[in-house]
Amino acid sequence: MAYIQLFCGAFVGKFNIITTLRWSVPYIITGIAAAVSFKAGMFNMGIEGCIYLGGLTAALVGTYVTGLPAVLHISLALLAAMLVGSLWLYIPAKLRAYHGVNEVITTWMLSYIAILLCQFLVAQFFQDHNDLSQAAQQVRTPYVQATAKLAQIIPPYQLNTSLFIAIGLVIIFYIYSSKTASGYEHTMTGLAPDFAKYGGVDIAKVRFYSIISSGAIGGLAGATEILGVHYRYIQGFSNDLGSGGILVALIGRLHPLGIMFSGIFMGAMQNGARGMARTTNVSLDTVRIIIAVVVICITAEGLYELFKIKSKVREGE
Amino acid sequence: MLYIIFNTNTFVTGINLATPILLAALGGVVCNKAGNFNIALEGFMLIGAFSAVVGSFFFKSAILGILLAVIITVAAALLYGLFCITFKADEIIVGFGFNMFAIAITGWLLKPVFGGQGSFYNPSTPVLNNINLPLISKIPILNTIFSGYNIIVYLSWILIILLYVIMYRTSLGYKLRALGENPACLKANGLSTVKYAYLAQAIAGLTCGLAGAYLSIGSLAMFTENMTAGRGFIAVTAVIFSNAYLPVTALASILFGFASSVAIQSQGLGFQTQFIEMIPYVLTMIMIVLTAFKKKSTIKTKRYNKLLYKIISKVK
Repeated sequence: MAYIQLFCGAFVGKFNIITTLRWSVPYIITGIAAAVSFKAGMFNMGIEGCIYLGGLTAALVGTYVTGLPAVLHISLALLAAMLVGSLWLYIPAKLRAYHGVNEVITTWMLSYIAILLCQFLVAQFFQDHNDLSQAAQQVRTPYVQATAKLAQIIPPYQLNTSLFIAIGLVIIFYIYSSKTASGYEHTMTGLAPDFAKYGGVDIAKVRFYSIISSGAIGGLAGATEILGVHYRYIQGFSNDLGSGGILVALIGRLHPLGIMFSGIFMGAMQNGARGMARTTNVSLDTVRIIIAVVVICITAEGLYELFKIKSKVREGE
Repeated sequence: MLYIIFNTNTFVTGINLATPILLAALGGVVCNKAGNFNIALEGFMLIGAFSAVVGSFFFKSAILGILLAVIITVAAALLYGLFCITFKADEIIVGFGFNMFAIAITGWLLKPVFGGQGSFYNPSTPVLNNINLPLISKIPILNTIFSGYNIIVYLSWILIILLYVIMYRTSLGYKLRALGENPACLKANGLSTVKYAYLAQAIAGLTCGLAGAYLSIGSLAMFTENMTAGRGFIAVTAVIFSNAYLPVTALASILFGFASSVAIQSQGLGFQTQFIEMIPYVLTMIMIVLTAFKKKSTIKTKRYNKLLYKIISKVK
């Protein structure tokens, strides 16, 4: 019964479908950010930090750059966010690719540093003092210029043109990973580094660029969230999108279409679970437990072997 | 600034903040030495915190609360081990999922067990008593610094020494370390790798259960959703920072506890606390980079020595 409610809350009715899509967009983008690095065998845990930095950059470009037409302004903000996101992961990428330093730890530590750094920068230099609403204590910047806002597709709802960015990214990632030579090298580096090296791939370079581009897409995710939904930088806006993206990439098995569907799944869970919590007395945590169990089981090779052995025993009987 | 750092108040707060980090880091070190990079410490702690409140509330005894916390957390750690060891899943992904699972299951269980949502607080729940140490409590300054904590703080100090002795002075510790360095050694000696891997997880469960119990029934008997708030990750940071060498891990976690204590104390001064909160992460980054380049430089010097040796032998 609760699951019917969950489904209805996510997909039935115009409002629910649109809100589900609105939540799916950042999950798809962060999912691709995670998948780009995972595909090359790099476990980038620093997407959360890139989201914050990208969001802050986009907010600052959106606020303080004036007099540009909308298209230029938005692309400038998005590009700046991507640049900052990739530069932030430059050091761990360089260290991992050329010096063999574990990337999980460095990216993870830098992620925390980035979040604290953003909080410091905004609180110290860019805090919005004009706002006298009840949440004035919150760390946040002023609103961005009208030209930097991503337009809403159906006005009262939060869904915005970043939907097309997400779809575009899925298509680019699909073409890149399955149709181009460098995409093949990318996948090979992740699956069998020795084989790739034997085949003449510069695996250090592939690893380096995989982390860098993962950071860039993470920054883009933050920027679309800021320019499309919040219109200002708010501390804590990401709401764990970074780890959500890692989950999306893993549930989607690193395949672009898989990521799209698991992104929509996560968005539906976010939205539907809220609806469910409103109408029934089943809490959000039930959904979280299901997702966590899926994630725990997803790489458990032994579990598959166990099933295989059992089915073999049955066949033997 | 100096006045804030050298202050008994800061010291006491520092010890209080460091204890859960220290305990979790001790478990993390044992796992790390046994070849498992455990990032699920946060989840273990959360489960420990929840079960400690449950035990303390229903059995009306804080000690039984600790006991229940340890038992349930060891069970949770073994469950984590089941996936990592027996099912051969990726330890980072399982740890990641496990942390999420811990947040969700403790939040979910709040309702059926206590009938509330989000948090639980009941003043009738027993809290751990503070114990004054017999000798030290008579010395003027040391009595505020080293005495008057609850039993888990003293246990954590004992555990540092105990685990160090176990890891570096007994055959059990030798086997655990061998498991991390080269599992084939254990197999060649006819020992079960699986058994020792689970044992390491059980030790991590024990220490994290204590850490969780300290958080929930240490000073106030309460539980809130996701109350560990990243302490498990700072413990992981301490493990990485020390390169899993136990005495350094203990020092690092105490240092991190003190850093956040100083951050709290200096909040009133209008000083930016974000940089003090960054200390664990920045130090760890520096440490990792330094060790990476140190390794490289030793290789270089070895090569240089070889070259030198060749030249010398040719000259002769």
